[in-house]
Amino acid sequence: MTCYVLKRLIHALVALFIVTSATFFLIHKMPGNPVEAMTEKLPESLRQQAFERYGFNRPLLERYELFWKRLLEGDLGQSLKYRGRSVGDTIARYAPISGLLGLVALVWGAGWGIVLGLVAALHRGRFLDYAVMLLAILGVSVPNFVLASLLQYFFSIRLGWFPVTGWGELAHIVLPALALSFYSTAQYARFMRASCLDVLSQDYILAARAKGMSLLWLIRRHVLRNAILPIVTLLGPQIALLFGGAFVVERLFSIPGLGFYFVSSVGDRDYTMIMGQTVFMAALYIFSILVVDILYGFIDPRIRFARGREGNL
Amino acid sequence: MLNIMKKLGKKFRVALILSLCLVLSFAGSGYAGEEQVLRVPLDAEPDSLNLARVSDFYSALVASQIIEGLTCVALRDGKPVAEPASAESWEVSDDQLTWTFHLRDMTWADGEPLKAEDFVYGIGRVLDPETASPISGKIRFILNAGAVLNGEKPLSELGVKALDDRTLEIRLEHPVPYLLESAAGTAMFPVRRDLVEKYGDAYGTDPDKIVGCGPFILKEWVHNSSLTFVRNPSYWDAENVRLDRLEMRIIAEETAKVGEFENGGLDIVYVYSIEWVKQLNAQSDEGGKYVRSVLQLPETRYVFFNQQVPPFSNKKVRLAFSLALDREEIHRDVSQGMEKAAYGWLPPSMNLDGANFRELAGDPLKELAEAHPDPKALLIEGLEELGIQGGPEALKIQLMCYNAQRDFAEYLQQSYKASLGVELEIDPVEWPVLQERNRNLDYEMSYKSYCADFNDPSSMMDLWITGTRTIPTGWSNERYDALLREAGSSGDRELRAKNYVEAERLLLSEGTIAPYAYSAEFDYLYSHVDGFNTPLFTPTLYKYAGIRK
Amino acid sequence: MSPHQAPGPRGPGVPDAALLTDLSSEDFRRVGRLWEPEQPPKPSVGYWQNAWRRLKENRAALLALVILALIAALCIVGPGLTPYEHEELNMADKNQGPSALHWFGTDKMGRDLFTRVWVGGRVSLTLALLGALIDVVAGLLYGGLAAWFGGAVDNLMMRITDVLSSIPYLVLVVLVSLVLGRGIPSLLVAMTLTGWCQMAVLVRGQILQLRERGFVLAARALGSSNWTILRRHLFPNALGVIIVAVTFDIPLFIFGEAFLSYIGLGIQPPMTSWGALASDAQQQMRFYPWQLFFPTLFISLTMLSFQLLGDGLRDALDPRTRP
Repeated sequence: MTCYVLKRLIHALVALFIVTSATFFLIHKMPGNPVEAMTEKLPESLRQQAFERYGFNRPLLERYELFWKRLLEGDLGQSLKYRGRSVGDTIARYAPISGLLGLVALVWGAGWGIVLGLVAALHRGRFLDYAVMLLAILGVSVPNFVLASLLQYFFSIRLGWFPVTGWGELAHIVLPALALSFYSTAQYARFMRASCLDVLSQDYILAARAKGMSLLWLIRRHVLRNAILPIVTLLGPQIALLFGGAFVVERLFSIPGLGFYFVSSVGDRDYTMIMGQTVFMAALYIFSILVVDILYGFIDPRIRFARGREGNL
Repeated sequence: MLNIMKKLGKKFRVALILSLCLVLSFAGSGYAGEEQVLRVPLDAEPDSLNLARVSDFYSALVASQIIEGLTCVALRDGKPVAEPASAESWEVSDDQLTWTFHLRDMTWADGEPLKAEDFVYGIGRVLDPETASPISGKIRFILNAGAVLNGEKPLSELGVKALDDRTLEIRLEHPVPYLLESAAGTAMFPVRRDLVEKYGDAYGTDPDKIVGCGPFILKEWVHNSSLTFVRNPSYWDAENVRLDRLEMRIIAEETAKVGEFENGGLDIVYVYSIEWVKQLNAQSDEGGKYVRSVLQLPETRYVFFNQQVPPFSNKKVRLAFSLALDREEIHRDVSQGMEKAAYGWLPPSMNLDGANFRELAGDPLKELAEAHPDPKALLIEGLEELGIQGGPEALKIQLMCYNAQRDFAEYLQQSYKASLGVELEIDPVEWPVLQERNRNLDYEMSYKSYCADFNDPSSMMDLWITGTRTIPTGWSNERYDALLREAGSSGDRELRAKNYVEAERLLLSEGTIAPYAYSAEFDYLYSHVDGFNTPLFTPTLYKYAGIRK
Repeated sequence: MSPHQAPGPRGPGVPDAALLTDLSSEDFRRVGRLWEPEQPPKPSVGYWQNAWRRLKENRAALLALVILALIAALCIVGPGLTPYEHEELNMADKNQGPSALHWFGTDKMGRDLFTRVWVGGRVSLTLALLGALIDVVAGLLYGGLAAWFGGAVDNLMMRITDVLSSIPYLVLVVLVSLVLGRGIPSLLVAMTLTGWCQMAVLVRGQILQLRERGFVLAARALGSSNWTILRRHLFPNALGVIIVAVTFDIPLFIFGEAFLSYIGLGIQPPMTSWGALASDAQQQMRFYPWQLFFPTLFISLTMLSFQLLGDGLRDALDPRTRP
C-alpha cells in the first residue's frame, strides 16, 4: 500500500513536470507578448527597454531554467500585467474564493442531483421519474451565462432580494452558487440514476430482495455504495477544478475569484500568471486523481490497489 | 419519498450542515452610519500603484486619490484649472524654461515630511531607462529627459533639482504652456525612496505597500473586486474633504453595473452602449433622479493603413479610403449619436495655448472631400498609378481588428463594398497580437482610438514623426517632421498654431490615417452627489465630492 | 503479458492466485471444450431489433428524436426560407423585434435573426456532433486499451491523460487557431484535443469495474477470448454510462463554443453559432430579449432532446435493463 502510494506520487510529480514544461514552451509560441499588451503608447525605443526590463531578450532556455530555479524555491514570480504582484500570493488569496463558491455550488448541486437521481431510479418509467429528470435536465439545457444573467436580473435588479454584485457577505454567494449548481444537479442526477438502475438489476440485489430485505436497507447497503463509485470518479477532479473558478459567473457577479485570471492572463500574455495557474491547477488536478484512485479501493472492495500489478482482463 | 430522505438522512445532513457552515463562516459585516460615503464603479482592475511602471487609466485614477502632485486640476466653470496642491506657490523664469515650486509644510500619511527630494526621486524613476516606464513620454519636456532615457546622460543631469527640502526646481527643454496641468499627472508624483527600496517590485501592489500624501488613504484593496478609501486626517486640506469614505467597485459587466446603480449600490455610473444612454437620459430628463454628465474625451477614433505595402503605398488610394468613410452615417448608425463625427485628427477638447485647436484648424477632411468629390475615381487613379489591374473590384484587403471591437469591422466591410466596391476580409485578433502585428507592419489596414495624455497638440501629433513608431504605419514626411520639431521647441504661440494646423492638414491629405469619430463618455449620477469634478486630461478627484443631505 | 495468454480465473476475486504461478501455460493442454462458448449471452440480430422496439415505446425519446430531426431539417433549409443572407447588414433595421418581415427580429447590425439562428445552428450542431463523436471514439479506444493492457501501460496511459487535461485550454485554443486559422475545424481540434481524456478515464473505470462481474468471469470460464469478452460483454454493459456521458459531451461543445465566443475566441463574424448569438445578446438582454430568447430556445431544445434521447437509448441498449 505505502509502496503503491509512493509510486503513484512519483508518477504524479513526473506528470506535473511534463505539464509545466510543455505549457512553458507552448505559451511562448503564442503570437503577441506581454510588453505589447501592457500599453499602447510605447514608442520603439522604450519598447526595447521594456523587453530588457522583463528579460524577454534572453534565450528561452535560460528563462526556462530560471523559472525552475524560482519554482523550486517556491516562488511563482510576479505578474507581468499587474506589475510586481506576486503570482503565488494572488493564487493563495483568490483561489479560496473560487473554491468556496464552487464548493457551495457543488454540494448543493450534487446533493440534489443524488437525491433526484435516486428518486428517479426507484420510480423508473413512472411519472415521478420523468418529472424529476426533466427538472434536472432543464438546468443543464440553458447556457450558464444566460441562467446567471436571468437570476441576477430577476432576483437582484428587479426584486432586490440579493445584492447585484460583490463579495464578502452571505447574500453575495446565493445567486452565483445557484447559477453554478444547475449543471452539477443535472449531471449527478443522471449519473446517479444510471448507476442505480445498473446496481438494482444485479443478481445480488434480486437475491437480497428475495430474502425479504427491505428496499431501504438495500439502498443503504448496496445501491448507494455501488452507485457512488462513478460519482467519486467525477467528483475528485471536479473539486480540483473548482478552484480555477467560473469565469462567466464570477464576471457577471463581480466575484474576485481566480476565474478572471485564468482567462485574462492568456489574453494579456501574462506568462508568469499563466504558469502559476498551470502549476497550481495541474497539481490540484493530478493529486486529486491520485486521491480518488486511492479512495476507490476503500469504496469498492472489488477494485484494490493490487489491480495495477495483477490486472489483466 | 420522505421516508427515504429520513433514512438516508445522516450523510445528507452532514453534507448540508457542512455546506451551511461554509457559507456562514465567511459572512462578513457591513455597517452604515451617518458618515458620507460615495460609491463609484471602476471598469477594470488597476494594474499597480507603482506608477512609474504602469500606464492604465484605472491605476492613475486610484493613485490620484491617495497621492497629490505639485498641482491638481479641477474644473472651474467648465474649464480645467491647475490649483496649488503639494506646492503652495511657484515661479517661472522669463524664458519659461525654469520653474520653481515651493512645497507646503506637510507630511505623508505615515507622518514623514514631504520633501522636494521625493519629487526628484519620483520624476527620476519615470525617466530612468532601468524602469522602462510606459509613461515617460508624458514628461519628455524636462531638460535632458530624452538623453537620460536613451542612456546618453546619467540620471543626475536631469533638469529636476531639490534646492532645499521644500523648494523644487524644474528646468525644461523648451517652453511648456501646459506644465501646470502636467504637474498634476502621475508621471510627476512624489515617490518615497525608502518604501520603494523596502518593498522592491512589490511596491504599490497592495494598500500596505504604499504610502500617500493625498486626500484619502487606501484602506482595503480586494483585487478585481473593490477598493475602499478613508479620509486622510493628515492631508493639508483635510477639513475641506467631505467624504468619510470612498468605495470603488470593480464591475466589468455593463448590465450588472447599471443594475447596481439603479438599485442604489452605486452613486455614479459610466455607460457605453446607446441603449443605456437612451434609457438613463429619459430617466434623468423626466424624474430628475439622475443627473447626466457628458464628457467630450480628448480621444479620436481612426482607421490606419500600412503604407509599406500596395495599395496603401499610394497616397491617392489612402485618401480615397479616408474620404469614402461616411462619417455622418457612422455618427448616426454606428454610434447612434453618441460620438461626434471627426473631420480632423485632434479632438475638439484639445487646446493650443489656451485656444481651442479645432476652431483654429477647421475641418480639413471636409475641405478634402470637397476637393475630391468622388473617392472611387480617386481610388481608380491611385490603382492605375500603382499598375494594379482589375480596378477596385479586384482588390482584396485584409482588415485587422481587435476581437472585442469587431462590430465596426463588419460595418467597414459593408460600407467599403458599397462605396468603393472593395472587398475587405476581417481578421479579428487579440490585443497583444494586434499590437505586435502593428509594430511589425504585418497588416494592411486596421483601426484604433488614441487618447491624448496632455492638453497640447504635440500629445497626438508627435505620434507620426518619423521614427516614433508608437503606431507604425510606415509613413514618413520630412515637411511634417520639420513643422513639428519647430512647433515643439518654440514658445511662439502664433508659430505653433500655424505649424500644427499645417501639419494636421498634411497628415490628413496624405491619407496617413482616417479619423472618423471623437469619443465621448456618458456619466450619470444621483442628484445627491455633489462636486463631481471631471477634468479631461487628469483623473477625476473625489476630494471635491460630497453627498448632499 | 499478452491478453491471449492463458485464459483462466484471475484477479482479486480468486484468493490463491499465487499457487498457480508455479505452473505456466505450457503445463496445460487443451483437451476440447465442454460447451461451445458464448451461445446464450450473445447479442443476436434480435438485440438491435429489440432495442429499436424498446426505443419506440419510449415516448419521450421518440419526441426528442422528432424535435432533433426538425431542428436539423431547419438548419439545412431554414436560411433558404428568408430573402436575407446571414451576413447581410442593414443598419437602418437594427434591433427590430420579431415581425412578419423578420420572424425572429434582427440583431444589432440589422441582420435577420431567423436566418442567423439556422446558420448558427449548423455550426453548433456540426461542432457538437463531430466533437462528441471524436471524443467517444478516442475515449473508447484509449480507455479500452488502457483497461485491456492494465499494469504499467494502463498507468502510463492514464498519466498521459492527466498531463493532457492539465495544459491550459485557452492556450491551446490560441495556438490551434494560429495553425489552422479561425473556423470550425480549428475550434473542433482545440476542443477535442484534451476533451476526449475525460471520456477515456470514464470508459476505463467502467471496464475495470465490469470485468470483475460474475458474467465476465463466467464467460472467461467458458473459454471466451479477451477480445470477445471486451466486445460482447464489457462494451455493451458500459454503454449505459457512456451514452449518458455522450449526452453530457454534446452540451459541453455547444456551451464551450459559447464561452469562447463570450471571450472573443469563438467563431468569428460574419459566421455565427448559437453560442455566439446568445453571448452577443446577453449584453443587451434587457433591451432586446428576443435576441437572447431564440438562440437560447434552440440550444435548450437541442440539449433537452439529446438528454431524453440519451436516456431512451441507454434504457433500450443496456442489456441489464431488458425485461
